[in-house]
Amino acid sequence: MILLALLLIPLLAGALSLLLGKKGDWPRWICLVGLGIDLGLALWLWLSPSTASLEHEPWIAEIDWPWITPLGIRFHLALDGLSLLLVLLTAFLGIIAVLASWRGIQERLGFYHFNLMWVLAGVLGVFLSLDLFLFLLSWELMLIPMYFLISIFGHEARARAATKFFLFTQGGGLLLLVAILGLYFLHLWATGEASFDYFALRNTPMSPQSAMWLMLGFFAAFAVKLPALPFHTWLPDAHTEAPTAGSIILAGLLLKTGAYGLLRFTVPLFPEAAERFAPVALVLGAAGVLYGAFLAFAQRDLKRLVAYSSISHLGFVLLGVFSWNTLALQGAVVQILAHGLSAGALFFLVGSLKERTGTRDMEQMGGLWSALPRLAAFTLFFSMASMGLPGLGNFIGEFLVLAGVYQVQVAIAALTALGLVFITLYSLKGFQKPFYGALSQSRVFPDLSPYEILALSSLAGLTLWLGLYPQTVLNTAAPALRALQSIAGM
Amino acid sequence: MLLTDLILLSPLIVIAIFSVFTLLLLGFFRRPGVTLAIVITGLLFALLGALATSGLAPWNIVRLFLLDDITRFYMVLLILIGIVVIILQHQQRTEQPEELYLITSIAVLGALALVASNHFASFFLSLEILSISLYIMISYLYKERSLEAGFKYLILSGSSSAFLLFGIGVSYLATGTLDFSVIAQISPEMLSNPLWLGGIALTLVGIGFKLAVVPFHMWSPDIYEGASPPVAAFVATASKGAVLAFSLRYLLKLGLLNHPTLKTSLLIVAALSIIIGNLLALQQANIKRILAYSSIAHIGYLLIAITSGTSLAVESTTYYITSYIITMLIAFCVISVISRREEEDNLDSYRGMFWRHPWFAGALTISILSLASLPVTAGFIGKLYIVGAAFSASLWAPIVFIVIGSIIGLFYYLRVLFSLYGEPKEPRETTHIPKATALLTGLLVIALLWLGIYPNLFIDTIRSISE
Repeated sequence: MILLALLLIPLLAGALSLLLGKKGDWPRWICLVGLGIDLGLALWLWLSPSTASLEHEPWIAEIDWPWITPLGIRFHLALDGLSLLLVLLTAFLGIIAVLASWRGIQERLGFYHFNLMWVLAGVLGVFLSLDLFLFLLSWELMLIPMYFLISIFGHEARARAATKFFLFTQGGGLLLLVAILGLYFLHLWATGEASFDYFALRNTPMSPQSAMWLMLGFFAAFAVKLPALPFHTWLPDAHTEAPTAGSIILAGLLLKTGAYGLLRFTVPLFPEAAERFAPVALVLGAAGVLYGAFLAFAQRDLKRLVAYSSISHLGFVLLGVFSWNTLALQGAVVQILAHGLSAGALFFLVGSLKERTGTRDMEQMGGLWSALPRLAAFTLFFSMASMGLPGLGNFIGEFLVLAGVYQVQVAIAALTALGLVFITLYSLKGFQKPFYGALSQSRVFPDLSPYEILALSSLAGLTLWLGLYPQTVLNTAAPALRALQSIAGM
Repeated sequence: MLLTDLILLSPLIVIAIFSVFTLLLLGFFRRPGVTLAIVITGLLFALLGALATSGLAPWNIVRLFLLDDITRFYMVLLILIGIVVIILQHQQRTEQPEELYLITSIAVLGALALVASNHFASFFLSLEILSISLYIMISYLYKERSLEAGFKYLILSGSSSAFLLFGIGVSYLATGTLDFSVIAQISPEMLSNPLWLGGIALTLVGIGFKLAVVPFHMWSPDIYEGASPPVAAFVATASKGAVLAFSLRYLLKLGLLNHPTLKTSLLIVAALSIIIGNLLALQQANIKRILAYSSIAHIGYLLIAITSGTSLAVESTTYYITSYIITMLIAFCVISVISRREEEDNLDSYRGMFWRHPWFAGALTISILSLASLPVTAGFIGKLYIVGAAFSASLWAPIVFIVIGSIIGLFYYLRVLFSLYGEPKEPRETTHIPKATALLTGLLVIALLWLGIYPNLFIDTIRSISE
């Protein structure tokens, strides 16, 4: 029941915001309260004694109701340590996103928050569904509201960017639909049972060839979202044009649904095919790390820089998933969380900077440290985090992934490690340009407001925690990862 | 025997009687409201007749008609469309609308007879009743555009009927019978007879015209644009739905799909319709033309499901047609309110509609989402069904076309959505929305969401009737 509540609360909060859209700040508070309850529920699940005592059975909570029975569709939600961490991240970043739009969004509040909440509901649905139909439904449910967030509340070139985002992800979604149906029919023909259930479909007997095709369908859909190298071109545009909260959700959560899909579905459903495909995926991951870092270094637009850095950071996740050993998987999970926090914070900061200076062009900024000391300090902190400074979350993630990849492919690990140099370069550039040098604008800017400081310090605190004591998170994810590994048998 | 025949045919007979009665009445007593009431009563009785006989075993009536549950399902659907369209017509406040209601109900009669027909004679006759009513309905506004549209439809439909008649003639020459049940028995051996195949191919060309599939699609956008929105809705839903339901029987019962070349050509037509329909829709700025081109693509998807020929074919087609009909009716309900004048069909008139009419824009949004097959609408499960049907028959290439077509389709569906929620170009006044239209739209939206979220009952029904 808690799982259902987790999903329903954002949906209801969104609908309520839409209805009360004209009444001042009501939608903001409704969303904050709704997400607060969601976060509370997730924390309660996390701290409950049964979570700590999980050994062999990774599932913390589950509901499994009949739904569209003639087609074998069930309303099957379940939560293990992996989902739990991602649900926590979703509720937390959701709150940050609401705070981030407090000042930037002043019109059409109801519609804005409706879309925000429904994206979050779709994301939660993705993290919780174990019925592939329900998963697909949630997967597509998050697209339309995200499209509206970008196309209506975004910046100048928003229409084109929103359409591009939608076409790429929906194209991936259609491949996913075809692949899911393919799996469904293979299972139907082999066993005579119509089912979209994860556990039932997991043991579908199939020829290596069809397994490969279906695996590629799943992989393509998730790789678009991640985004892995050849499918990444939608991301910089979408990020740049989206409103601040949109970018936070996009980078912090939507990209993570791709990573989650790879972890939960692609490899466990088709272990042999994934193993054969692993070298290609590893190369794509390493190429993503390097290429994203190169492009990030070449940007003038601060927001585009952060966007390209996401491609680079998520390359590590792809590497981690397709190395499929304990170290690499743990690293991927930490990287997912750490990148969610640091990219969310960086987009928050870039958004605040843009609100104050009116530009995102680094050439037009300079010497802002003296004008905006607090904002600058936070930017420094999160640039360091993104760079992978030891003691902060991203370091743990990247280190574990590299250690895991090293066991599988030494060359790839070495190549990727080289990428760390470029990551340092663009992170330093992204910080140095706006904040050092001669002061470019003589206007006086208001520094961070108390609620912005609150949001950013909580993000910073969590990043520190992940960096200094990742064991809490690793312990939570461990049973789930063990189960995934034993399913995949790799 | 005769009594059973009469009872089973009661939907057709009731509409015929009410139509004749209305026709006579209109000679000396004209009131739009009264005519509306009479026509709707007739349709409601017909609905009752169709519902009351459900569950009875398939029954042949003088060889012309075959009434089974699947036929009755489509009859119910078509009668409901008729009711919705006539109510919408009443809200349009056309001048002298009485005959329009009457002719619409006669068109419904033709559509009902078409889905029930089991014989080339009844097939041709009912198709002509439907088509001739449509010429009148399309040009009824008597404006330049609608006259042009009516004339175009007349000429193209006339030539397609010629194809059809010639095809029927050739088929008769080859088999010596017009009865589908007889043809079905001899069709395995006839499949190698080039004469018969030629005849069948010609009839399929005629059907292709009525369905507006590529390469017989030229007429459809002009009709949609020229006709008044309710009539365009009728063309999009009832006319195409009836012809599709008929082709389901025609293709499956006569075993035409067992012929590889016929099957392949149907799939090629479907693929062309999907790609070309979607591509042409990209260029349009007029919402009715967008819907017209998109409907070409949707018929393409449906043709793939029909052509799969597996046990899933009837079920998936029926689900998809139903969801498509509801979707189009919603769209045309909204269009009939917003575009009162011809120049208002342009997408610009819909800019920022959400901020003026949130509920109506919401309804149109849901309809567009369903066309784009996004959750939680019926279109989502419909697309699942179509791809599923293609899968069950291992039609790999068509699946690729479905995916490509759906991606192209997103471009223009998103454009419509973007205009609904975008910034209006100039401030526009809110339009008066008739209560009846609002109520209808609401009911249709509920139906669409019901089919999309909890269609158990519906799927069980169509599964039981399609066996």
